[in-house]
Amino acid sequence: MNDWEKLSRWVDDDLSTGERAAMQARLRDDPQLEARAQRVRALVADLGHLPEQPAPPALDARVLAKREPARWAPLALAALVLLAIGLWRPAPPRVELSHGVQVVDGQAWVEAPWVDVEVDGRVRIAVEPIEALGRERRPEGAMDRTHVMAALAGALVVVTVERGTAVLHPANADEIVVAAGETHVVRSGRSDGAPEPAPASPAPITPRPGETPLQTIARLQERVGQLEAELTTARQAGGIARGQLEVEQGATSPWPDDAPAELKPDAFEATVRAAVAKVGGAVVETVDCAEYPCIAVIRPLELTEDWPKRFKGLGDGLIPSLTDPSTSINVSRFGDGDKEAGLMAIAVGRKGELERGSPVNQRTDWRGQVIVEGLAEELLGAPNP
Amino acid sequence: MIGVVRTWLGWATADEVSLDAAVRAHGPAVWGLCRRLAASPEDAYQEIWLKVARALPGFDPAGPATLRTWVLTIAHRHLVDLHRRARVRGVQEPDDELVAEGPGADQVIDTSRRLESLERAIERLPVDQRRVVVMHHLHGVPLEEIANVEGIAVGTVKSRLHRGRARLSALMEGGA
Repeated sequence: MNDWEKLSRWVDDDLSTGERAAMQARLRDDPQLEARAQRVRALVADLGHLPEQPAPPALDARVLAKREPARWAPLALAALVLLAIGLWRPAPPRVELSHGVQVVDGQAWVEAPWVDVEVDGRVRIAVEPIEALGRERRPEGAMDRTHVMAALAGALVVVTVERGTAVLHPANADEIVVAAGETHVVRSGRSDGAPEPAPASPAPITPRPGETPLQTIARLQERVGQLEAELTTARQAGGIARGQLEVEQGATSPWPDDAPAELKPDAFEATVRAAVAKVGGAVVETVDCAEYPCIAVIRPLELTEDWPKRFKGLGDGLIPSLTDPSTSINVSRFGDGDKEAGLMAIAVGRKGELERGSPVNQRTDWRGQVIVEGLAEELLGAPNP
Repeated sequence: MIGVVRTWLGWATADEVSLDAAVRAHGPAVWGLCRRLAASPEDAYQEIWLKVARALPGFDPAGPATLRTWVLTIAHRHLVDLHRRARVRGVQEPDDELVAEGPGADQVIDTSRRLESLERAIERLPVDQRRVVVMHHLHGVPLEEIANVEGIAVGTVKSRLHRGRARLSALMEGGA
């Protein structure tokens, strides 16, 4: 703990009795230290007087679309009654979109260049000004003639409906209804109806000439089957990705309801701090209890060769009241040529919980690694890119 | 019948306004947090309000938390999540070197310039310390509440707070 940190604790009356007495004695004898103490006090006062940040940005469509009343049941009933007697239509939120992409989930009125889009469902609206077309990464073949022509004309608005409908109100043209599964392109004030060339977009579903209603239903059911198969594939891919992540990071380890009192955050931290103070020559850098079990990270003040041995004994004997505890200890040494730091991450669990190969052990190892690497960056500075 | 409906609509109007009211009242505070603590402040700001909008039906105005505390807690949790994910991806935090920036505190007689220097110094704190300093000093969140949201012990929060203030003091003095 350097003098600044001690002064900060002194200002908050957060030093032990002995440390406080020592600090007061030093302050009496050292005018420079006293001046620093005044600066810490001034700093604390200044922190409460920092100016407001500039005005926040406006909320975008995905937030506004979620602006639903909390007590939905009486509202829904009231709306039904009013709709039945033709008195009330709720006004959707209005959103301006000059460029970029918005996904609207709900009801909204989106004002894009050349066209207003009335959304009721889940709709993706992309507005691409001419300069953006050259920059944007697109799937191969997606920059087709339609996009190029639209770019030359000035702007391109692509509306893709995932669920529900979107009613397009182009400037100087009739309104167009875009149904679920359809994509519509609008450019420079007129709609050309050209389909979005992205291969993932399903074909529009419209009744075919001469098709009976039963045939239409059968065809739609077949299409639904295809979409469900695509969804299953996508879910499997997502599952694989999640599985890969779990292999690397382990599954999240929530706090069990029956976690022993000695392992709970404040008790564990107090135990670790007392034990480290007893051994001496090290500080507790952090105690992370975001998941079970807590991980304490200890840093030796001097990087002697035998420092890991001095603290390794802490693990098993740390909580004597725990029967057959299991421990996980990770010792790391970091250096960038000029500076060096050693860190030891210690976690204690109940019997068998932290045995090598157990899910909690795997997760704890990963958490410890992330915490230790973050602390190393703090202590040594970020690595060069 | 119409009278009853009007009563219900009155309810609905009050609830619908609550997100707008929350944004009006607490948007600047959330934006301040995002500007100081997020790598992409605009994205973080929208994501936080999206979470607030989704959770708003569950907020109990008669419960123990004020709307401000509730919104700031959602914002804080989101910013902690963003930082943890960024750490896993290896996004770099500000360099920890104590480099003097601009004039030292003794030379800065103008309050606004001193506060500007302080704002720049805050940007140079490691994000764990910055978050504690900003939440506690700029937004008045108690240390116990910070510990709860961050999932760390109160002692660790205090360590981060004092270490952060120590760095700020050294930076404001002009290097140490």
